[in-house]
Amino acid sequence: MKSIRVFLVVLLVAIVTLANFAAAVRGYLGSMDEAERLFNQRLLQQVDLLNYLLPARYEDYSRQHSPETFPSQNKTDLSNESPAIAELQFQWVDNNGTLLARSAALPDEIIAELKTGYQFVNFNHYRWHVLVAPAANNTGWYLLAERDDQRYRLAESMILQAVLPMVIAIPIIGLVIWWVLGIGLRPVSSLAKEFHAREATDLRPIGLQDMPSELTQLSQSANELLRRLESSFLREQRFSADAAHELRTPIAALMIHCENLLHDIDPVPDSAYKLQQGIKRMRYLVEQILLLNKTSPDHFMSQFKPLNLTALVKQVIVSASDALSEKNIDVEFDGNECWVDGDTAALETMINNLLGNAIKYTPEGGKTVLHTWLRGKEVVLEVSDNGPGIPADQYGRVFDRFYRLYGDRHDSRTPGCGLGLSIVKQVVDLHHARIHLTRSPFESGLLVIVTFTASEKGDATQ
Amino acid sequence: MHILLVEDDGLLAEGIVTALKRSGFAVTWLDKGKTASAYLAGEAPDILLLDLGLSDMDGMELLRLVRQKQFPTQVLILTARDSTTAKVMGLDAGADDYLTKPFEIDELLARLRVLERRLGNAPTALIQVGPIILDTAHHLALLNNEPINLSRREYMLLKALVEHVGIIQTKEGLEGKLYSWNDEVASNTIEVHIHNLRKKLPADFIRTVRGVGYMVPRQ
Repeated sequence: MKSIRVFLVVLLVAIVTLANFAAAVRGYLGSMDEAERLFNQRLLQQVDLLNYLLPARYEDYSRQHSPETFPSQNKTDLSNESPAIAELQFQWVDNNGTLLARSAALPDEIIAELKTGYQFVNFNHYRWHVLVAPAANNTGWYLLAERDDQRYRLAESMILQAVLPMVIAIPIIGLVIWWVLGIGLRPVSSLAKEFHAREATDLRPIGLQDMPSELTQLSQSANELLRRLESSFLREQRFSADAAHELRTPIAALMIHCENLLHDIDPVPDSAYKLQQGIKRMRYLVEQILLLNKTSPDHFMSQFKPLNLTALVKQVIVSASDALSEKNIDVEFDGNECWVDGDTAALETMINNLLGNAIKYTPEGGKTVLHTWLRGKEVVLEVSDNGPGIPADQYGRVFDRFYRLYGDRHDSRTPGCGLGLSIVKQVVDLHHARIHLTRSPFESGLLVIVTFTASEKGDATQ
Repeated sequence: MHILLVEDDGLLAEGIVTALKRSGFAVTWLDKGKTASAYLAGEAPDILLLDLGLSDMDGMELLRLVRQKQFPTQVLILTARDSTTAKVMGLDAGADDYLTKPFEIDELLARLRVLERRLGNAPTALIQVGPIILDTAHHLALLNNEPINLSRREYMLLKALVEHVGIIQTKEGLEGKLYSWNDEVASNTIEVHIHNLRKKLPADFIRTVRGVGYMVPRQ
């Protein structure tokens, strides 16, 4: 993934490095020239020094057969500079070309042509800078020498001292840029965080206060998109509500007229009962399709709240009283009070479908048991019956839409459309819960286990 | 007993009118909200059977009108909306009960009888379930036409069960009906009352639904 911050830091550090390098090269060359001038001036100063001392001894030295040799007397050790550079290297030659005196390191031969000015000469395996200058009182010439490599090394070490901080500064500059960019890009990361932290159903616009101008455009576009998404969701919801209304009202009319018909005709023809059965099936199918639509993740807009799952289970049992009595089914509830975060209507639908299945597929006088258990941080809802159950190899398929066990051979007296468990699965997924099918503890039958994460708020209220 | 039915779907309304007349109710059917509010300006029906989704106005407005005029009318809402909030809103606005479309005609009649009893009209003050008759006007319980001696709470408990015959009543719900919220209720109080009540009633009249509550089955 590309990061603006990393990109900018790399780019800026590269630019700083390049600029620094160019400045360093320029500074290096300039400093080298300056150092050259400085060293040459030092040689001129040395000529002055020699002029204070040597001409007075001209008579003594010219009488000697061999030239006077001056060893280095410099014992002052002020720094760790190499001693060779601190030494004065010179030759004193009279007007006839006879060497009068020299420093210890220089040879007896005259090292350069006797012509005023700076020269380069090679001897003793080194390259030397030589200044030839006339001595005072017409006492000949001074030849002052300095080794080129030493001069160069000194100059270079001086310049490096100036350039080195620039190099050390680069990583520091890099860190500072990283930090500053972090501050500068904070609105971007906080915007990203805000989007990340949002629930998928949260379509509130983003606040535009304190938003830098670069991000205002983006946020406005995002808000526009959210607004359109929300209105499309609302349209979808309104459509679903309208569809529910438009489908339920005629079915209600059909049901009433059919019941009136059954009252009015005596004896009641068999077709009238078939008609009633057909209407019941249509009613069931329409309800299930509406529920499937309502709990589909694309349309689901509710915010989850902590709710008492146990109370909801009891409420669903109560509302199934008629169906339970009709088949004389023995219903039982057991367990402790459990809270989960969820949507009441969706969970009610889920429990209703599970209990509905248990009632539907359990024979007359059968048994169904519901449980809610709190197990650590999990809430377990169990619905079991002593009906025929589902073969284990079908467990995976029964959640498919419109899939019915044994297909068309299904007992036609049990109304169903193969949507019940799809809706259950959808609600389970919405709540990030798990569903598991297995054999019930009775001789036969199905046990459905739904595992939720327990609500933290619910714990606090208990 | 006069019922005003406000329902804009003609097909459904005709079916309801036929069914209610057969059960002995006097029904007036209006299909527009405006005509209904004009009607309500003149006289108050005993029961208003109100569809919320009217074509010309929100059914909720009619409900508010009835409550504003302080009619003793019982209001039963018929709704095809399934959102829980719509139901809650209806009840908050002063409806006495609601029924979601589509419904069985028996369910509608049962709800209407409960509302009728609340109006205190004599013929429906009697609730009969098998050998038991409850005279809600005189707070009397009869077994085979012989009065049974019940404490106040036992009577209230029996009434709650018999009024909703065939429907399971949760223990929590019964506690709520017998005691106000600040009463101390021991965890087995309902069990004790049920135990005493059973001794005075035919065997198996009250059925226990383990873990949930109690029920008087339809006879």
